[in-house]
Amino acid sequence: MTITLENISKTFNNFKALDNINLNFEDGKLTALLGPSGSGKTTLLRIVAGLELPDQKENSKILFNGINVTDNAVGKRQVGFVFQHYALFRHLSVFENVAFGLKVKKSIDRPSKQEIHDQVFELLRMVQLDTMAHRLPSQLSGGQRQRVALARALAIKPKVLLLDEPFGSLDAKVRAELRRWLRKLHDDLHITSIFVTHDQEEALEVSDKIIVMNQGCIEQVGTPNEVFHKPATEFVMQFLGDVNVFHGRIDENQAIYSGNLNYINNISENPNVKLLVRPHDFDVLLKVENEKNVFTAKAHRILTAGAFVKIEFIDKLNRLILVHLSHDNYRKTPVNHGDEVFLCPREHQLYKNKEKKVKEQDNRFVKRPKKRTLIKNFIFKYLKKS
Amino acid sequence: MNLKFKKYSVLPGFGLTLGYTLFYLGFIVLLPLAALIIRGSELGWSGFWQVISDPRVLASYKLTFGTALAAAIINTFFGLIVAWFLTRTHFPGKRFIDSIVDLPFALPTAVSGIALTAVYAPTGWIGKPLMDAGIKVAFTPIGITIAMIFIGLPFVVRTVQPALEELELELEEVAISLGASQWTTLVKVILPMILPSLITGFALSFARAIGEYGSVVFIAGNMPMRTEISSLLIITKLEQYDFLGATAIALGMLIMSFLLLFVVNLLQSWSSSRLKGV
Repeated sequence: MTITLENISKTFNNFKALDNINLNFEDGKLTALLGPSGSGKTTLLRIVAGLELPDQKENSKILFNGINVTDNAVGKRQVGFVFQHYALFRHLSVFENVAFGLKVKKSIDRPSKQEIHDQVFELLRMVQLDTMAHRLPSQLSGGQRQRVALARALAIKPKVLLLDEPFGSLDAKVRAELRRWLRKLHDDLHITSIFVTHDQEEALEVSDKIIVMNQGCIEQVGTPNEVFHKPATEFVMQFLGDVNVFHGRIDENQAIYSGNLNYINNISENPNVKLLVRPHDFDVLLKVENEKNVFTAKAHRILTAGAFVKIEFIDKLNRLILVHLSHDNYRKTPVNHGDEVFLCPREHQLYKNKEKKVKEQDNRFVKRPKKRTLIKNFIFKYLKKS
Repeated sequence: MNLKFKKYSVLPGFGLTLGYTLFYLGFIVLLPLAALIIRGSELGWSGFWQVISDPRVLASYKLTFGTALAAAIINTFFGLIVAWFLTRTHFPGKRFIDSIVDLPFALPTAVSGIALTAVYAPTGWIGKPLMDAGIKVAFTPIGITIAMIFIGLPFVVRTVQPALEELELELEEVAISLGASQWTTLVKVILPMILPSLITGFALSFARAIGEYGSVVFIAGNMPMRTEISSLLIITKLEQYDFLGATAIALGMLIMSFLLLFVVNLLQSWSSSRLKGV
């Protein structure tokens, strides 16, 4: 099912959580909503589910397959929602949890006891928990609990599966495992799915499409490849992995980066620019013919344990430059602590300096709930009780 | 023999708290109750039974436990509603209403007894219209029940309120997204989650009502066989210098209360054991 959002905004006590969002989620695709905390991604997911209402505006609409569902209650939208903290019914067994959505159906639509039993066990087999049907949630591990939550959401045969940081409270290993498993499950079922995450790796690995959000706005929509290799904004570039940032200015159509004056690119207008280079996009050269387009830097710290070699360089301006080398390349250009080498960016992104973003952020801090009143309330309550 | 009560723990004060708890319970709670049992045993089994099986005593037991049970059930229901209201709604002045709930705790029971009697007496504000409608409240078991409701309500509200506050909203959201109606969500998700505290609230309110004296005696009318509660009967016996008789009635109450609370506690621990963890 395709989901279309038109002009969706959401304001909480003057704080703009979502600012006029227009989006389209494709049928049968697994889409990731990626962004830092406070970017509005969970709010957006909850609005799709119907757990939250968007600001009342004439032109704001939520369409499921072209049908306006803005005024439909949660229960009528047929969405499966999975929470970060599982939200399992603690007093019910695994079986009863999964069967919940079937058992609460109106008597006309409700499947027979045998059908419920069969359907639940089919789902439990799918999430590999059929041997634990009679356990209570407290007797399961975190990963198992999340799989129960997923089975429970799938039991009502949802048209959309919405997952709110589904792996957020699991440890790294289980998370990676469950991530692959979710992808496989999606490939088998092809339910239109949206999942919220702040983990870029997770988004890149699992999803068909990524929507990068920041401060209630959409920064970029694209495939994992697009957002990683062609970040539309500086924010996207910064958010999707480590980057080295070099500040510079434009002079006579050339960007000049202070320090050893490296001329990198032609660019017009705006005097202030930033050059962003990913750590793995540097070539390490032991010697160069001229010092154009390179940074001269000293190796400061070398970490060889890991899939690739991480080297921290310090340049003449005392800036830290992070470089990732493959073990092969590291063998070709062995760098020792204290060596002075030349770093040549193979690929880079140029962004103009933006002042606007900073201001917006300041507003946010002013409009957050007031801590002082909260404390005052607490003290009142405490005095009254004692 | 190697009895190890103490598990290794970084928290200090095991010896101190254990000693104090045992001393406190022994000296303040168990010693007087033991005295009651020892005094009561002077009567012997047959003597004890004779006092207990006196129709007037039996009637008082029936009245006390019956009205206390009714009051506790009513309190559990309405206490839940009050607690729900206090946790789920936000409006200015809520704190004021919140503190009104505690008033029955703070008032001297005699004061509340007199106040209730004044209101519910056949000439009182509420008593008169009810009387006209053919319902006599004061000086009947209904009046006793009302007094017991009055003093027991805060127990339910104050035990259920924290449980409701702790309840994750997500559980309700899940239930509703799975297609459950609000009523089903309440019955199948919320109530089972707060059942342990609801049972505790019921038990506290019930226990308080059984032992209540001050606020009940005024509204009860104290007619033997009809509106005479056990606590009053004990006082009456004491006034007649029938110490052994009073002790026997008290012992009977003690045994019944203990059994009832024991059963309630079993229920409570059973219902909360299912909710552990997660």
